[in-house]
Amino acid sequence: MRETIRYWLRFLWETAKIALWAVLLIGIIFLARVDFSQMNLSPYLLPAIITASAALPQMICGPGAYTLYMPLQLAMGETRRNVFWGYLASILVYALPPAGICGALLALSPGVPNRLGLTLGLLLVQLLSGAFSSILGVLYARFKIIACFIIGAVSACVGGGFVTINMLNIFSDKLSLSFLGQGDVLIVLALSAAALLLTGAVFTALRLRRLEVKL
Amino acid sequence: MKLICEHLTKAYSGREVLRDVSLTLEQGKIYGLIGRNGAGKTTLLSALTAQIPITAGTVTLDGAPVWENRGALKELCFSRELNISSESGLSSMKVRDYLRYAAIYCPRWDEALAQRLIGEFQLPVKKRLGKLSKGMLSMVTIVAALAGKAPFTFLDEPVAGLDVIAREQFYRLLIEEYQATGRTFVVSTHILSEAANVLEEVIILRGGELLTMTDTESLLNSARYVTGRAEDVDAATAGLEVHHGEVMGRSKAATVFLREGQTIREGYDLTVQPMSLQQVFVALCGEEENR
Repeated sequence: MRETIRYWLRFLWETAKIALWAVLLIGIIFLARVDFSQMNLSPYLLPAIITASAALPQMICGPGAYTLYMPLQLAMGETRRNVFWGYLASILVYALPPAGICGALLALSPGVPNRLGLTLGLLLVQLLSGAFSSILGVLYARFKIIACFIIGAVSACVGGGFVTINMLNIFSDKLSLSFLGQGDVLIVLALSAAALLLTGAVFTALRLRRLEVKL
Repeated sequence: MKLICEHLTKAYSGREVLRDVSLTLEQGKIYGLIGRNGAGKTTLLSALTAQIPITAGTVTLDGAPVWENRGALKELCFSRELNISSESGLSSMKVRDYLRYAAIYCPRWDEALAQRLIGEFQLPVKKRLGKLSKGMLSMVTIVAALAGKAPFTFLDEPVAGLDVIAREQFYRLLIEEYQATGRTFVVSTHILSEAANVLEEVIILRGGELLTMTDTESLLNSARYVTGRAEDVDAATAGLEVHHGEVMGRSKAATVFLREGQTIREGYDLTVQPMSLQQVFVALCGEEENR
């Protein structure tokens, strides 16, 4: 299991590099489109950019985990069980740093209500993205080209839409983030994350059980 | 330590690619796994190293199942020709990253040996696998296999794409490593003329079944290529195991396998010659075309 942890840390590091590029890209888009004279610098702005930047690469890298990283681990002598638990653990481990950074930023910002609820909500968004990417990864590994269209459409409408639209609304200050502190929204996010994680786990387990390494 | 497979069967959609294969691999030997294309060599190696689920049978290392057993899998290393199609995702991986991952999973990884082999093969470690030639890719897998130091190391066509000098380098390194560590190597290859000197035992697969598993020297000592007039060849080899008989006019050539105590009858005008491993293999497996 130790080797698997080292392996997924390597995967996460490479995913994080993509996240940093996403931060840069979103930051550039934001700077290019915002009228600074009209904008109030919201304490939610940076957490929004960080959350979106961290969530989107997860969906991009999910298929990569299934087509390359998992078969490679098996090719190098890892058990399917360890690959399975390692990947699920990596979703959690990947979600913690951006959520932690957002929580720290919110804690340092004065006048932010329900910081803990907000941070938990952002963590759940990360877990949702990770779980969603695991489902997309299995679809991609199983159906290849057809899955690309499915992934593109579904990502745009659901995954990317959920994160991006809300984050864009935050950028334009049209939508207050206070709703994220509400208990019922948190419950919805938590249940969604749990359902998607479970679905992703089942898909992953089924795929790993029958996977034949042909690397 | 022994790796034993018993009644190993692997089928895809009802078609058996391996059928009831039973063999024992012992420590401290170099085995050659030979067979025609599609005989099941890669499938067998994949099954022995738990890369693929099997349909029936067992694979055990010192009595413990290999499947889903990290303790057993640590003792095995399967090095195969890398698939660098865009589907596999390997094409964008750099050589040094691939070897880094191998180092993570091989508890006995010898970094000094890996660096030495990289130097000997002049491998460009910063280059992506997709940009390497077939020969260079083979070298990468050879480095991973030798530096991994696994007690049982399986190499699937390691010399594919290597030029003759690189092949000689490989065999030299294999012998060096074998003599230094006493590891078990199972080498699957089609270039039998070169590998014969290295292989202690041969495992011959034919049509998904184990045809024979025997000491190379004994196999070669038992094989004779007999030529002469057809009636003389038939008379001299009556009752013996004859393979691959070729009739050319009034002459006949046949491969004969002698069991202990058997000889070719004397008193006939025949030419009897020893055979190379390649000739023995053709005699045993070439008959598939005539079935």
